[in-house]
Amino acid sequence: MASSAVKLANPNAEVLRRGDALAMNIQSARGLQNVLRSNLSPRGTLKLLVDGANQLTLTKDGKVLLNQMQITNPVAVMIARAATAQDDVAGDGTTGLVLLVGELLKQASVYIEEGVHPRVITDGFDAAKREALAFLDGFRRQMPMDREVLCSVARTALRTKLQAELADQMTEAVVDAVLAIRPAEGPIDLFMVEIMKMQHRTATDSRLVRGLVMDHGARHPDMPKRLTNCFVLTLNVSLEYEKTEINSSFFYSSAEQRDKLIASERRFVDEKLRKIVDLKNTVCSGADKDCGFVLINQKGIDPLSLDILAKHGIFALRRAKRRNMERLQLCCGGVAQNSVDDLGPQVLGRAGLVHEHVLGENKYTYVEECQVPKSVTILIKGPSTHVLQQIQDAVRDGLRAVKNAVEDGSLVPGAGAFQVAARQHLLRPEFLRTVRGKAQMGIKAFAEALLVIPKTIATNGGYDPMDVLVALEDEVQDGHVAGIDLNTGDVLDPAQEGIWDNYRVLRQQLHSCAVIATNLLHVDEVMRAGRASIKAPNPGEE
Amino acid sequence: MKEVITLQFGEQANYVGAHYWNLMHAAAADAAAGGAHPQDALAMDTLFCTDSRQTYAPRVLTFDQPGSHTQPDPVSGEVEESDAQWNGRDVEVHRQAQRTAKQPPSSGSGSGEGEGAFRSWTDVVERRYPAQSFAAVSGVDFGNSLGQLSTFSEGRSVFEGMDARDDLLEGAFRRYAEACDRIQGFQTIADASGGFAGFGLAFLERLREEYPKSPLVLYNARAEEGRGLSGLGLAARVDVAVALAAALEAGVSMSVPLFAPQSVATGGGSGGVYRGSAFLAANVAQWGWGVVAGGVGLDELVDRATGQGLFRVAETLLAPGLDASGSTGLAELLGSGGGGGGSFTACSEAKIESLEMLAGRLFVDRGTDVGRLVRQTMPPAAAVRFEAPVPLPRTFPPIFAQHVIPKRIGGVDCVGVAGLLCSTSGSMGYLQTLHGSLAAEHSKYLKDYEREAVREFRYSLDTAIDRYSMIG
Repeated sequence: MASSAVKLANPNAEVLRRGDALAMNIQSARGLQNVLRSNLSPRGTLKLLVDGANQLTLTKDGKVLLNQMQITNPVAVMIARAATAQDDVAGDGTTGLVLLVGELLKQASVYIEEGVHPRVITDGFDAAKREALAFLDGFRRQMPMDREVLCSVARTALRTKLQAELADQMTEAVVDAVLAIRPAEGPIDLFMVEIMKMQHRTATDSRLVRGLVMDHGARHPDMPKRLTNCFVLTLNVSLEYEKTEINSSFFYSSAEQRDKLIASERRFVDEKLRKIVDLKNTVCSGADKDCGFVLINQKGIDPLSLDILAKHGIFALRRAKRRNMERLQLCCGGVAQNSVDDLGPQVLGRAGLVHEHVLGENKYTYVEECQVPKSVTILIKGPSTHVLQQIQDAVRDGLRAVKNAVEDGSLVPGAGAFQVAARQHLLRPEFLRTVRGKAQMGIKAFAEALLVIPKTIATNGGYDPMDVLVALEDEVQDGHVAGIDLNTGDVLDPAQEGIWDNYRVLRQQLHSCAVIATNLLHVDEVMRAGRASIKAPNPGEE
Repeated sequence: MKEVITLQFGEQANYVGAHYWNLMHAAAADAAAGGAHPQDALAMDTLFCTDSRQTYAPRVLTFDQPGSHTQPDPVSGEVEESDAQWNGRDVEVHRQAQRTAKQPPSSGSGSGEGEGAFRSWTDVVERRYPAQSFAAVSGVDFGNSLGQLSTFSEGRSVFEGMDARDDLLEGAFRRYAEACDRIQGFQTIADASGGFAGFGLAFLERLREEYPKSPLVLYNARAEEGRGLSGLGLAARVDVAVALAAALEAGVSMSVPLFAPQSVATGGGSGGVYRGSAFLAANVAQWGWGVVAGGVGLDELVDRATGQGLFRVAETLLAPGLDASGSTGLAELLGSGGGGGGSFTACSEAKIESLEMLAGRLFVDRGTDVGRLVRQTMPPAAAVRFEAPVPLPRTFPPIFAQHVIPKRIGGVDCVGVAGLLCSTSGSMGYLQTLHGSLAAEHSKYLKDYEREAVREFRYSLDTAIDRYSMIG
């Protein structure tokens, strides 16, 4: 067996040649597909991951699974990275992407074993992908995104990740959240929806708060715990005593001198506090005498300053998160200040109710009843951390599905309808004839690979995939749009039932799976010939 | 009152950290049991926090790859009747049953195969860490290779990616920081090279932004026994050099290289990470104990050892079981016979022969007469005295087997250990080796960095070398 050319250059290189490389790639992709295949669709199974520290994760989300598993196979890492990119761009469809890549390679391998060159197949993939994307543009439905439609989008997304009752309950919260933060024009920034987890009560107690919930409380026992009709001041000023950088000494000979020394050390901070207290006294006078005053600082406040603030009845929070600064401005109005100069009533925001809630060792501060909150919080409650995490992942997906729908302005009927219709579109003779010779095989492979999604949905639902597929194809031949009904195993019209997929999710999926499958098919040698690994092997391996 | 938060990055650093906390717990339990040290002077709150069970738990954040925590096997044998739990108020001491069934070898001679049974550093940990202290860092999302986090720059980009997504200082770190009354500083044990060196350094840079003046002590740990700096390949040396230079640029107050030296290898067996990390942990534990028991602040420690921040790379030297009864001065001790180059073993292979090579000393006396000698002969030396020798927890490996002068104090086996934390001109050799490995002909290892960055690294190592040449 002739040794690879690389081995002449570096005898230590490990090389997998032509047929082996391709077989290994295909096998790795299919292995990954098999891991994720049972998770697709609302009837899919969950995976319970237990890590070394005995922490549980219950998940169906492809991206979470791929991150938690320790993957070392380079092909699997490549697919996992693409799935992450899919998640970043579109927010959903990671499991589907992995399934599609695996299936594309499986279909291609049938032809390759008969001697077809991989490039021919990938040419066919390219042509099929372009046609499928064009078909997608025609297949989608443009519609006005009112609350009803958005609810069905959110419900579809949430039902694939959570049980039906819980999904339905979170649907309203998710849709209301996105509608609240939607700006008049421009993209929606989902960071303005804060997700707060509280480990108590049951999952059905999760709700939307039209305001902000922060996971820390005031640090001084004398501060008021509940304030109504408050002014909110958002600051990014350090109210802590700072040590000097100059080496200096002080000598004092009497107690008064020492007191003066202490006072002068504090003068810097006391000045700032005085301005804040002055502002409070200015606004909380006259008609607004009973209004509360809340100070939220991104930097620190030291204990003596907290004391002074508490004496004046000001509720002060320190070390708030950076993002909460933006959210507070959107929630309550007002402008965040970077210095205490030029403080005036115009920089203050308003909130109807600010109160503190203690849960075990944790304190939470609610800023609620704001006039026009452009930033909201989704409170997730549950009895244990894995339930909380599961709901959080689902809510994130739901938020992104709604955002995608609003920004795209169009939706695609779900439940496997698109894939079946696209396959039929690709296999029609008029299109096949436009492609030269053997590339037609690539198109056929692509079209068959698309069917993996409806087949998996049917299998996970407990029905025979072939029966379901035959029924679907009959309907599609007649020109209807048909998807799988998971309750009966029959066909249904997804548009009527309110099962919608996002346009950009499908577009990204089609594009990515073709690109990755093409890259993997073009690989004919895999070599590990780089520099020596710097990381020392584990002690157990030696 | 004045709290210190400990951070640990990377597998080797976590081994060192595991031994370190075992030593701290043992020392505290020993003091609480009425050992040689008076109870009230213990300031447990500096290093420990109280968790929900009202016991002291280390205030530590550990970062490692997912899958590095192993599950403790169910304890098959008996449970000790006396439970260990101490708080600072009473003098009651109870000992908790051990969770891990992996018993390290208790005999001194060649039991290398027993140590291979450790799958990860969590097998070494004897007491509970607080639940929020574990953080898993996966390289798959933002790393640039198979996600193994094997190079410095990859660790940095993983940190930056994760930080951009969710602020990494929120969460567990913020909870610790807010629970403290007044943080006096941070001590960090990080891998000397590799992905977690980069990750740790990026974390420290973020920390510096928030706490610009707190002392930040960094221990660079490479715990494999017998693999000092000279035992590393060129690629690893480049990583170490980059990590050290970046630490100096990032404003770390004091950086202490810890490499397990060859001379520590005792008996047969391969040793591996377990023994090396135990030795390094004894180095780190000296200064940690000072913070708890001696009332020394972290800033004071840093100032004395670095000469007011002039020499930012300090060395720790350890002389286990030093018998100083016949000596007349520190100088003689430094050059005294025993395993070649003095009884003091320097972790970065620096060779210290004389007193003039030292600048800014902090000296700890542990049950030997060295402290008395130092005070008699060298008044300006800063000496921090403790009467209690370092007690050994039950499972501490007998790495000092050849040097032990056994003392029993309160029924506990103790080992006299003398240590020095100082800046020495012997570090120049260390720094010069690192500087050499950043030379232009090794550019193929430096392709991850721009030429500008490499020039800056060389420059900061240059300035450090200049300063050290001024000593002695």
